[in-house]
Amino acid sequence: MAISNWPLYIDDKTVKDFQSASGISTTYTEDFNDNEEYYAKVKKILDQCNSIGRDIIVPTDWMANRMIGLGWAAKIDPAKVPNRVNLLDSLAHPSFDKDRTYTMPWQSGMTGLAYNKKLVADLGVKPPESFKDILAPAFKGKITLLTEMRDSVGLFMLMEGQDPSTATYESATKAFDALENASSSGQVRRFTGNDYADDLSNGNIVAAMAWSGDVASLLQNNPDLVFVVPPEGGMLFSDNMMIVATSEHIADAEAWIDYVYDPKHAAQITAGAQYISPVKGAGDELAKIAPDLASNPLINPPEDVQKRLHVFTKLEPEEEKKFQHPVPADPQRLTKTWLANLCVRAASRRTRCSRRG
Amino acid sequence: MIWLILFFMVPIWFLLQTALSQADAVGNTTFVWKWSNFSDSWHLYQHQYFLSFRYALIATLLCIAIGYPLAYVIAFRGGKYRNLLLGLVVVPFFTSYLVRTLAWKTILQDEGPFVGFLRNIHVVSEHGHVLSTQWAVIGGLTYNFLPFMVLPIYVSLEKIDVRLVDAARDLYSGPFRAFRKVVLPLSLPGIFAGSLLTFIPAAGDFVNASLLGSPQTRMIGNVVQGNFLQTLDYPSAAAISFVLMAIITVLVLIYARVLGTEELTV
Repeated sequence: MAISNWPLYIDDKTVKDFQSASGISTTYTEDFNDNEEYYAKVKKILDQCNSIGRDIIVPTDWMANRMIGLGWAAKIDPAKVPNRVNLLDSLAHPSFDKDRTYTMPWQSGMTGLAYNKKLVADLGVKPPESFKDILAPAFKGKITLLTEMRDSVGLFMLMEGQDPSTATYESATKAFDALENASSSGQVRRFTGNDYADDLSNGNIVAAMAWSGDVASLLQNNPDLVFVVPPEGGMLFSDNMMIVATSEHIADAEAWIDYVYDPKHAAQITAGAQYISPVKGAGDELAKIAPDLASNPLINPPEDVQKRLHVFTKLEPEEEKKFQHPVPADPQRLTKTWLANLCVRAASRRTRCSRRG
Repeated sequence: MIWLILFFMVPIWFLLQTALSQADAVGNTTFVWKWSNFSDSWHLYQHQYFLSFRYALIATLLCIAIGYPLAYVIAFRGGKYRNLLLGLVVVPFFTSYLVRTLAWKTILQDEGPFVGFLRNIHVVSEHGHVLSTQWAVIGGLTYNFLPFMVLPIYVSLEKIDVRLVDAARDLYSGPFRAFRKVVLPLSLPGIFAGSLLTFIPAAGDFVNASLLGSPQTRMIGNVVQGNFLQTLDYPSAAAISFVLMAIITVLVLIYARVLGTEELTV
């Protein structure tokens, strides 16, 4: 049985423990680096219903939505995964997979604002609380945003007082304009993936749009970093385990999903990944093995923070197209094409090639 | 001939076919003679084409300015250390292109000694930075393509018979005039070859702009890369590649005409 997952998303014991407990030989590869790139890599193969050599992959919500739409996901048999009752209620009915027929969350995370408090003090300004604050002149060329469209647009919508969980192209217009201005004025130094982490820890930037788990790990080497969910709100995302339709080890894959939904095992994974576990009771188990992590608000966010988190709406293909190619206010200034190049396309075609009915 | 067909004509044919296709939402393409891909790729990305050629031109000129004296010194003053010096020019090639460019990211970092020095002498403002500016991108291009300039110039300088310079001096020409009338014209083929080897890859480069640049310094190579890997818009990426190829061909033909004929007549 073979799993593709994102880098640094597990501890170093769970795979070995699973192998000895179940007797299933398991290959765990950290080659899922980018939703869109992984999609491009496997598309031709899965279109022809051939095996990609992986049984479980872990796409983010919106990519899981597209892959399910394309018929690339096998159904997970509820009877084979009794531990699925441990799934948090808040994650049990996402818009792209209403009853979790095809997917189970691996880890969740928050997208918010991270900054280096020492460098902020050097600039002589007070610590930023919201993205409005880091658009001030003092931060010019000292901040990065994310290439992930749903994070950058979502957080800027919140900044503009709009709700990304019900986003339409019209309601996002202000966010696009704000992003356009921030990008063309040189306020934003770069749009990044995970690589903002380097810039943030070696002082090239003072503040960044960041993922909670990254900051939790960075904090161990750099205690000056701070992660905040802005008062107007932050984004919540999950990466989801999905059994590939062409898998020949579906039962083994289900055994793995069941295994990691045991709160004890889930706590062990979370201790390594430092993201938010989707498993009920994992918090209590984590308190037993790593009490300092259990009390970390980045891994166990307090209730008032959880209330401020939003999930980006599921975009229909037509709507998604508009998000990819926002029309610039001034056609001469096509800096907005960064969005066109970075954002994603939705599934519009359905094929089915499941080997199991 | 068979190699030309296999490794040039066939890929070009597939590229052309892609460039004339229509992309759907999930990365499938259908061939429909969509000529508008070409005009779109020009209209939408004019600015990025312009930036690419500007950066590549400045980098090429800088390479000549740095590379010519370097090659000159190695060729005429190198003596027994010639091969060693030449080897030192090539040594950076032993590490990967990507790693060399990443190293510049460390050298130019905001809190590093180099930027600290520039801040002290007020070349860079107190909270200013070098990384993520066009100068970092141009600097990266210059650094990465310098050996491509040095080696051809060295080869053409090395072939020059020093007795020609002596003859010029005997005929009462000063050292500068001897250089201008004898050495420079004889080394023009080297400058010509070096400029092509520098300018063409630099214009299509995306590594320097993505690692050392900012959203304002996106070059056309970054657009192609984004369209291929992020938007899955293969037709538009293929069309851009074609337009880039066409522009470079025209520029090279003009350049060859200007410098090439001179080389024949002198």
